[in-house]
Amino acid sequence: MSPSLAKDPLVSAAEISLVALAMSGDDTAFEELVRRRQGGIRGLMGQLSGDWSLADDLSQEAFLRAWRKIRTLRSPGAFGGWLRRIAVNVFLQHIRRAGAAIQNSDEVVPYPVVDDGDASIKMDLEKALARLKPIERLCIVLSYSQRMSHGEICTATGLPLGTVKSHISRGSTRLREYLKDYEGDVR
Amino acid sequence: MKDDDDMELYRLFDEIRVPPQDEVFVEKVTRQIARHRLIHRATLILVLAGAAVLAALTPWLTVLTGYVATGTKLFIPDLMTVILSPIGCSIGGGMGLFLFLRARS
Repeated sequence: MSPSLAKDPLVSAAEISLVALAMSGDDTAFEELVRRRQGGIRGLMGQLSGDWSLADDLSQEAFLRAWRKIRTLRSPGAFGGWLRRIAVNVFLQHIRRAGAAIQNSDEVVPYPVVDDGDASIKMDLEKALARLKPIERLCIVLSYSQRMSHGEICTATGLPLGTVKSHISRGSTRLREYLKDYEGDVR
Repeated sequence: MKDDDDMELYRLFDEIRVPPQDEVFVEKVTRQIARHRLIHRATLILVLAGAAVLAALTPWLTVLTGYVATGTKLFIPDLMTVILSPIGCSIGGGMGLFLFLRARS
């Protein structure tokens, strides 16, 4: 069967079937999974890093790691959460490699956010996010953007529950303050 | 009040931009996967080929190792005697000095 003929049924296939195929070594099925999930993962990485070019590199790394480890996935239905955990780990490793001691540092690492003069609330949120500490940003994004529970964030990041709660509490307070600053600037 | 603030943040995050579908990104990932699979297969073939060659050469290598071991056992004591003798030291020192001077010039 030619690749193009094999590809078409995959486009309309349920994700769970694609995952099962990918787990059995079907690269075309995995390609379709990348196509479907790329927006979410690149969006998550973009919010975490504040740099859309870096976000693409980190997303590629996450998908590659997922491809290598897909046989270890216990249930095809858990693919989404599993992929997101891999993405979070890739981001955490990137931060550690970049030399930012995210566990203990009080220093804010300013990620570059492209300022194109757009005063929309989306840009404000991205700018405000970029001013948070990386670990706070991670907890905030996972909580508010990915809608993960505190327990899920603990599992994904390896941080203690108390630490996650305090990062979310402090981070959301700071985020609101920064957003108010930007609203003030706009007016 | 806190819940209202939380809802506002949830709403803002819902509105934040999600990157559009990017086929170039998918192609990049697919190419990387293909490359990794190729490397994996090549490594496997090399390992198997190496194991096969080693298995074929084992009898010959055993004999060769035996010769080398015997030769070393016979040769090394004589060599050490020569090196440690006054004549050996003179020759070695002379060669060393010659090489040193040649390197400096």
